Amino acid sequence: MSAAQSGTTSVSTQFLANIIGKPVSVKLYSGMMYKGKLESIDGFMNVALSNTSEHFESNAHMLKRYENDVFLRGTQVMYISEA
Amino acid sequence: MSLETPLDLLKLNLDEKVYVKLRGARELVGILQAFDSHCNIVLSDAVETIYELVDGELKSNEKTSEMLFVRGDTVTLITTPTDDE
Amino acid sequence: MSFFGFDTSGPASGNVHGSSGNSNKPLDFEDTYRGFGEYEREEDDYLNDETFGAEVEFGTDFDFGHSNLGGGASGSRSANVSGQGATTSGSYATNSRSYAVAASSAPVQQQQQQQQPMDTNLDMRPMESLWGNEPVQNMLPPQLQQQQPQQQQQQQQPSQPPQPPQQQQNVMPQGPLPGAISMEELERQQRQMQISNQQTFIQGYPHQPIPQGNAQFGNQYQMNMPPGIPGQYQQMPPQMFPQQQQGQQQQFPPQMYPQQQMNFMSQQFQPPQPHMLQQKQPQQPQQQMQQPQQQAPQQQPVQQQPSQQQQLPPQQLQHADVESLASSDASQKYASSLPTPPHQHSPLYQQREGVNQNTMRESNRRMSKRGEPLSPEEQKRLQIRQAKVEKILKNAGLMTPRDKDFITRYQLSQIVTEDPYNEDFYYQVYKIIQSGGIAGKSNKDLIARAYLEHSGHRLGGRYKRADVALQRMQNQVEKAVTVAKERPQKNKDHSDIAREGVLGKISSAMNSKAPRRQLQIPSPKSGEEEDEELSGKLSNASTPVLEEVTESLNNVGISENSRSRRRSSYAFSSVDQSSVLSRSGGRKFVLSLIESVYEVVLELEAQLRSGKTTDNSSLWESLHIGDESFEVCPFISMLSFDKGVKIIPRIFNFLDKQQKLQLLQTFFSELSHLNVIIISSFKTNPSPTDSQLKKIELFQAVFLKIIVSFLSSSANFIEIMGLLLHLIRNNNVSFISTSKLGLNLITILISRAALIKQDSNRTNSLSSPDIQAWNEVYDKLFISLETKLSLVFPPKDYQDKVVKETSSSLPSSSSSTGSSPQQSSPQYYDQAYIWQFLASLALSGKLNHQRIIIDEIRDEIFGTINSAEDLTKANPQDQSALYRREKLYQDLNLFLNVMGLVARNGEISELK
Repeated sequence: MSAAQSGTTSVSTQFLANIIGKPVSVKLYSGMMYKGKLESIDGFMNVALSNTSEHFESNAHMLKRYENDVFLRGTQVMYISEA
Repeated sequence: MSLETPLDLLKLNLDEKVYVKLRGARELVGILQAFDSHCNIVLSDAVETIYELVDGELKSNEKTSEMLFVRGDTVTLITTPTDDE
Repeated sequence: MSFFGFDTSGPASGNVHGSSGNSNKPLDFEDTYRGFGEYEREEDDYLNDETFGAEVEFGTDFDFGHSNLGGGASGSRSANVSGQGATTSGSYATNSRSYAVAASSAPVQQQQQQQQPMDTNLDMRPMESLWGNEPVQNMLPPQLQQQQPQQQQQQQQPSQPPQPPQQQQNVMPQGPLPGAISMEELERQQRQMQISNQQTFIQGYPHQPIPQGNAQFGNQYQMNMPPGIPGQYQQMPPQMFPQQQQGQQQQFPPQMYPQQQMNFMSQQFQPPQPHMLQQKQPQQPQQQMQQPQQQAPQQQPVQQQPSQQQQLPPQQLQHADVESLASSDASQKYASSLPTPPHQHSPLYQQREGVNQNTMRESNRRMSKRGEPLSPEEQKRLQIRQAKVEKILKNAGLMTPRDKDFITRYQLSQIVTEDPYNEDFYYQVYKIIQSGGIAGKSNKDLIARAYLEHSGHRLGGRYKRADVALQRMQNQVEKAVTVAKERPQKNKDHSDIAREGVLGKISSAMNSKAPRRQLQIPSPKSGEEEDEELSGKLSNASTPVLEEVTESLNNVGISENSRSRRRSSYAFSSVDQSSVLSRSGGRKFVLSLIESVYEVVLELEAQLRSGKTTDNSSLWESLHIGDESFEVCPFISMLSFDKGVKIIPRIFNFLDKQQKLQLLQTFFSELSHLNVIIISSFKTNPSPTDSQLKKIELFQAVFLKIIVSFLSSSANFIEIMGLLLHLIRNNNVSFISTSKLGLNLITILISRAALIKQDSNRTNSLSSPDIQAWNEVYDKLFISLETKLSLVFPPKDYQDKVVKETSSSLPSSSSSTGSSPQQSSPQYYDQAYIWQFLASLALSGKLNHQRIIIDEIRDEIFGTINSAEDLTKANPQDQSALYRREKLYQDLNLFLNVMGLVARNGEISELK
């Protein structure tokens, strides 16, 4: 771990920095899953996605599509995964 | 547009119509007047839609308010609605 | 001693406190307290004889045996007292005195001490029995313990301090040493006393007899405490020990508890001190050596172990001290006699130097018991020294060095004064008393005034010090305030220090306003490039419709740039601003631009409010008006948002004429891309929604006003021409004309131009080239509108929809049932703007222009007349219909009058 850390960042934050702009899947605690391009993320795990599709639990069966940017509240985010 | 946090991007939506998803199968549509880092939101001309399962049937219930303050911890999602909503 | 009404005149003065009214012990009291004052006054060892053998009755009970040591008479008296188990303070004092005496004389052997230092034995006894180490042989201890009232205890406690010194005095060896106890030692003792500040506060009350006794007892008890006493005892001040130990704890502890606690605390606070004390008090150990020796025999039963324990540490220290005093034998014997652990003694050791003295006495006693290693002279010497030290240390430890320093400084400040009389409160009061009468109201006032004056209100020289003091106070307060301010800030900074964690820095700031960030994401790679690519892709996308439009526009004299724009303007099959936005940088980009514009405007307005000159270069840049990097000017896209529209009037405040002109040029150039135009055209938006109509209304209200004001105020003819040209060249004018908003804009330009031209006809302000130019522009405009003029009239269904939407939006709107006849607008589509446009168009045109116009809109003209007539045909009395009819005619005649025609009552005739 120490080798992976450089200065003030750790592996996790590096990961978050690296996936910006990439398609990601964000799952909330409620079970909702949002797949889209990661526009932005901040320290509280707030997420902004573009071109988002909404699913439940898994990426099958899209429930809704959001054309514009979607803001997901950090406290509700369970995980952010590169997809 | 350099290094904007999600909340900064949310700022761009000020005075625009937004669609907010809340916990408890609720949705809000209204004009975003204000928000903060807790996601507390003030909406004007807001319409709240509550989805309920009644006797196995999905029903929705709407409430309107001229000015509405939403506490941030219930907010899950904020976006701008497509105009058909 | 004026305390407690104690008459320090001599031993004959009866001690009130001590006397519990026991008639049995009047003598004892006298004996007990006799000479107490003398003890106080005694600075030298002139009482040594009395103490150590001379027949001097000390008769006080706080000698701790010193007196008994000196005099057998006193000892006998004390013995009597102790034998009777007197519980009076006198007896107590007697006992203590006898203790001291015993300690100084023959500490170990009880029998020995019983006689000569009968008191000491008796005194020793209780303490020993209290400690439970040795059987109490004398009756004194139990009696003492039982009978001693709590008051005595309290008295005894404070009396301890005075006693030890007295005892010391008494115990001082009568030999050559009285004077030999050098000042050095005394000084050392004094210093030590100063160090041990906490012990004496309880014992500060100079109840002489009792303290003496207490001191003695205290010493004993302290000696006894460490070893065999449970923690309770240790907590209790030495004074309490005898009483407590013998079962009177329940009585005494409550009363003494706070004091005990204090003592205990003091003891605890000074664990290092005893050692220091021990080290620094060479005399005391020696004296204590003497004392314990003297007292030991009496106290042995009870106190052996504790005393041993107590004595050990002092002994250890005493070793050096003893050596210094050349009584090494004593020390060695001490060491041998006190095998108990020394550490226990240390907390107690602090309490009183009397403790040390006691231990010394005890050790002395023991030593003497074992063969008297200490010569009586040496013992006496030690005891004298001890007495001196005790006397000095009677009230030691009451003040911290800080307190003493404060007092000293204050005293010095009182001394150092420029105006001693005026600054002396007492002198002032004295003056008042002297000058005035006796205590009277006025006098009191004067005195009060003097007090006030002295305290704060000074004049002249007095003020200097007050001012200085005040200033100093102020400075201190300021310093404190700044420090206090900085502290939370420092803490804030410190609290914001992030801590490393797996997820990166974890801030420790407890801030509800800014919930602490748990992640610190390093600067991510910019995604802007991707956005641009995306936007580029979108812009390059071409649909079949676009291609058609492009070809259709080929013959029209438009620039290449605008061709693509116009192409797109035809391609808006659906009303969405997304394509426009995407071609101007993206929605986010445009919104962020708007935000930045807002920021700039707010700042400029703030500057304006404060009166500074404003720099609008940043504003101009934020508008991105001249920005060619995007296919669609971002400024235009900004106007597609309501908030962008709202800020325009405020922007105009800060722009100069050239900038405004440029803005309008851009505006007119890209009119087709304006969202409002798109949504207001029935071609591209045949079914406008209510929100869209509102948007249109908002835009119209804002922009038209601006343009009109600008044109009327600062635009000249040529500029208007330019704007028209921009409009014509870069847009499909016909398309624009299908939109109410567009039509209005065109109307504005044309009418303005016509107005100027008309003025110029009179004033000849326009040059012929200008007029020429205007004619050309008009021609171009006409050409672009030709054959499509009828399109300016929206289709009926469109009109109906608009009417329906606007009527439904009105809260008080009447439905189609028409309950409010006076409301004309919701009921029909107001075409006034159309006629206005036609009128202005006709006005600037030549005859053939007008002919063409009439030809094209002939249907509309007659249709209007017919509908007007129809309105009144149905119901001639209908006010609303009449009104509307009139209006229709009015609007129509606007246009017809330009051409010299008028419509009236269903007919068109020439206007005369």
